[in-house]
Amino acid sequence: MNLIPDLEKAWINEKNSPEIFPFNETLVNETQNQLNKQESFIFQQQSQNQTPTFILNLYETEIERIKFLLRSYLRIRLRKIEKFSSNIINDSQIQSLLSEKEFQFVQKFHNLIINHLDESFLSKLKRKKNFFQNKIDQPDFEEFVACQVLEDIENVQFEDQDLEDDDLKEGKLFIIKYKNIRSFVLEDKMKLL
Amino acid sequence: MYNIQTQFDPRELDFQAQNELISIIPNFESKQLKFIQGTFGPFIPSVPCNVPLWMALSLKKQQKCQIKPPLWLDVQKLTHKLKEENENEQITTIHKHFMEISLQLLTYASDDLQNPEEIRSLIEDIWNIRLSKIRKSYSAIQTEAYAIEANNFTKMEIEMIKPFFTTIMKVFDKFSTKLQVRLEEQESNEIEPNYSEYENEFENENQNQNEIENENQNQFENENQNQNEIENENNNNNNQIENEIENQNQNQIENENENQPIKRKLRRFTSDTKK
Repeated sequence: MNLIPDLEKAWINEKNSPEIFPFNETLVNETQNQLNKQESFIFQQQSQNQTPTFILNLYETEIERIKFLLRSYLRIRLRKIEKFSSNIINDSQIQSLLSEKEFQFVQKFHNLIINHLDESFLSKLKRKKNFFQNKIDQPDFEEFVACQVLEDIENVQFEDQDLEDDDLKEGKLFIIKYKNIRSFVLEDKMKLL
Repeated sequence: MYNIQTQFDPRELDFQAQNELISIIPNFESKQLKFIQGTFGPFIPSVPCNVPLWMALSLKKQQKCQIKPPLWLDVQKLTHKLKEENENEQITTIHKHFMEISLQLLTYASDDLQNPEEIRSLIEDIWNIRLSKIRKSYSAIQTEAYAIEANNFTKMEIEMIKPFFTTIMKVFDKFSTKLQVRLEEQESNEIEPNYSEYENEFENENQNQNEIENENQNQFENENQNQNEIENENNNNNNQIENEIENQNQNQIENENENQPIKRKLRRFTSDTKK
């Protein structure tokens, strides 16, 4: 089972990409399930008083590690959602990438921001419509990222027209413009580093 | 307003490294243990078995096992590696969590290593050589490069160069696209191109684009090139004859390349060894 390596990869990808990736619901739910199961298992073992403490310690350490991983993944998503909140509110396509809870969060967050800005100074401005349109944070696909090829990709045609075509061999590391490799990362042929 | 950290801090790198498997020799007995990551064991005293590094370190702290260091963490192997690293111009293949694993083992399990002091100094030497190679290879960033290949880099090295490289490459990319647009505009207007101000920075970009160059410009460009390539500073006079020869050669090459569209190349991450 590759649950934890997959979660780790999702965390690293999410941390390095300029945009928000689709929420990996099965992965998060499954991890949550396993954590609950393991916690009740430990509780059972504790009450039976047969397992030595150092082994119980191991179980607990693992749970803490996985919780840390899960939290980091969710937290980095929240940071991005905050950053792109006004963009998400206007774009239903990005909304479909969020989990239900994340979507509730972004709505509340956006309302708070709008109200705050309105109360503090926007209500005193004449042309406030334009203000928001100019201030929307968009994911920048022109960013450069570090990435590793997970499986051979032949005859790559890059987004940018003026780039030389090339084969990408498994295991190679690149620093390259995100736009050019975005599709590979989404298809799981590459991972970000 | 929101600055998202895309860099991992050293503790997060340690965390990633701790999932690597390592061999331990337990001194307790236990049946297979079921973890979320998988099952490990059975643990039988003095029979080696594989567990993740975090588990090994936790057991070690409670003095329940002896850690068998990985094969590469050994004076002989490391001496060999150091020699290989010294002889090679490019950085060599190494475990992707080389630094993290060796430092953690040196800190928490140094009594399981033979000659920990020697190992520590070897690791420091290897690390320093690799870093100096990486520093030398900053010249790989050039306007004509759309990507940099960074094979054999460990996770920690990638983390170190990432902030600098991603920023600087973005800036270079912006400039080269701007220059491209400008060049195209000028070509379509059939005006004699005049971008001598850019030549220092973007001479490679210009080389193939320029169809008709007057000799002065050519000479100016070649002088710059020679300076970069040979890196002699005070021999303009001696180079004049070579310049003329190269002028001719270059004109030939230019004629051949005239009709080919310009493609930006992938740059390999190499240290500059022309010195």
